[in-house]
Amino acid sequence: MASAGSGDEKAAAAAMITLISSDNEKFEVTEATATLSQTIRHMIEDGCTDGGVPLPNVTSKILARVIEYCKKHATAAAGEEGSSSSFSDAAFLEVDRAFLEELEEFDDAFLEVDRATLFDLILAANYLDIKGLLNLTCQKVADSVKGKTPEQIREMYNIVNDLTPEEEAEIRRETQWAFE
Amino acid sequence: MPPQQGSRRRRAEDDDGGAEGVDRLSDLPEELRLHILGRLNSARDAARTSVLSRRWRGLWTGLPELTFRGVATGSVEAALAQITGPTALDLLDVRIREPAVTPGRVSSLLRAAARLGPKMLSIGGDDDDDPEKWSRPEAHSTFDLPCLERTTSLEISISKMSLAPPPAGEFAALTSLSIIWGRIDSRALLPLCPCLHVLVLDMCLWPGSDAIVHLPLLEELVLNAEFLDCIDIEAPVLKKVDVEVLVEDELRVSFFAPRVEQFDWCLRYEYNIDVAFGQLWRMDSVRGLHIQGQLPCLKIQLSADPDLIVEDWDFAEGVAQLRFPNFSALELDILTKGHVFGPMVLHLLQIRPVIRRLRISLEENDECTVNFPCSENCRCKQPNNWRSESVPLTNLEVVEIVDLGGKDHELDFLKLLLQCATVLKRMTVRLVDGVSSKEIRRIYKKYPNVECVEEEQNREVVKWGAN
Repeated sequence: MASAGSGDEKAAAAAMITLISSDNEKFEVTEATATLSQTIRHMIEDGCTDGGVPLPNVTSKILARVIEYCKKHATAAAGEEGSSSSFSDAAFLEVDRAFLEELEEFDDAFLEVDRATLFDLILAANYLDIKGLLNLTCQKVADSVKGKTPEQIREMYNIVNDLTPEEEAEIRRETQWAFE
Repeated sequence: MPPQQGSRRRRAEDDDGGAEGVDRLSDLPEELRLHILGRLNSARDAARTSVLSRRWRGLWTGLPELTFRGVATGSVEAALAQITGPTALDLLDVRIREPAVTPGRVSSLLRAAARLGPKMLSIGGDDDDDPEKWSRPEAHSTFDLPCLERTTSLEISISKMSLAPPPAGEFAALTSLSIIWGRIDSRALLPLCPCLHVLVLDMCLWPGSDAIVHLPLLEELVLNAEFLDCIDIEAPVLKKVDVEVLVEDELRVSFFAPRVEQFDWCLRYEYNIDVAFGQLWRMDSVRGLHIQGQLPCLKIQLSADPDLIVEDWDFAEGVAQLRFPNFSALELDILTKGHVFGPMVLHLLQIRPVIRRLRISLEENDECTVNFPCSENCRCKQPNNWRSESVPLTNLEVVEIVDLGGKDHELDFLKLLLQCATVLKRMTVRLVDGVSSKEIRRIYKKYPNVECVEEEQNREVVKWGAN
């Protein structure tokens, strides 16, 4: 249920925020994790997070995934801050590189979801204003249509072609440069 | 944009599309679909979605950033003509692929781009593989640069053409300008860009012309050119300057930049001018490097050239061509081709005896030369008594020699350095693979006050002397 805290000592000592999903499930997270969402960051700044933050647009299933993402990336952000303030010698760079690789692997694994979940994540990332997550999920969709014909894209995403043949011909004429 | 709660979307665990044929992609709000189109990073791919359905028609024309790769100029213009929205573009990035693109086509494309007022504009030819990109433009192959009043960053990389600045107007918002290959007249173009912070001029100035850079706000300058007559820089807040020029004659330099923190000035002497010493050693390049917090450094690339006849300039004159010939670290890359380098290095050290750090990197042969032992009376061994010369190196503290071959003349040079450098603290020598270090160690033993290090591929192996 409430997937609270993290291994990070610094984060554990920080203030906790309660997020409430549309199906009324409560998630307790650190402020560092929660503020990856600009929406929540603003709520914290405005001091209106007492008694929990209701997120009527996000189901518990999706919120759990979003929190999983934010936790991982909040640790990454904390790590970056730490290393930039110290000497950037080879050892630190090595740690940074390893961490970035790990983060990339995490992102790849994170995107292994069915398409419906992917769209829910896009909407949640947009609503919560989590830039990294929005880019990550939108990139996944963009990559899936890259190089595909319009017919293939329609089939893949159940897009009903509501254009009349005349309209379609006209569009193809207008954007002929893109089909050359 | 709330997801429709619990309605028709029943998510079956095994489904990998919209359940029951629901089009979740088109259902996304326009702003998010645009975001996805943006991540395609290709205007062409984005525009092709126009035929998916009514909701996708013309959506791509709202993209704030447009990237075209490998497209003909006509296609880009046709695409830009479709964009009629009121908002200006954040980015227009075009790599043209078109055989024999004409200056007229480039001018027309730039006009079309200017209409959209892009904040960042990058126009380039797709000529990375073009062996002729070096060739000079024909006299009449000039394209017109329109006035881009809103543009903050402009990059133009088009070869074999010259660029004509607009007859009127200013690039009032431009803070970053890069011109690669396309020839410009710095006198005509740069005064139109008074707000530049960053300027890159890469192979875009005519040989025999002047680089006139008078910019009150410039902080960073990269200049790479061939055979200039004059470099005239007046930039009161310039912090970082990186100049590399191929020189064939005296280069007149006027430099006013009192706030420079990082200075890298390299002159290459490859053609038409022999900067030489003893009719054997040629200076291929000389580079002054001043970085805050580090010793000002002079780096020289030299090679033995037995066919050298003329000496246009002596080494000292070559070094004096640098803007700041003061240095306290000297780095030499020497292609010896089997010649004795000691006398030449001693000569160089006398040009400026106050150096504190000396690094010599030796190479016997490059790919295209074969090493023959030179004759007993080869010029490289002059003067005959070089081994007993006394050069006052009263500031030299650190010496590093890379790829020493261990020959007699090399060891003699080492001994001479150890004798002359009275305050030497550390000497590091890396021997060529397979050379015995017995002799070196014998020499080292005589100088217990110097920390002598023998190195093997950047790994310290033996330390002698102090501590």
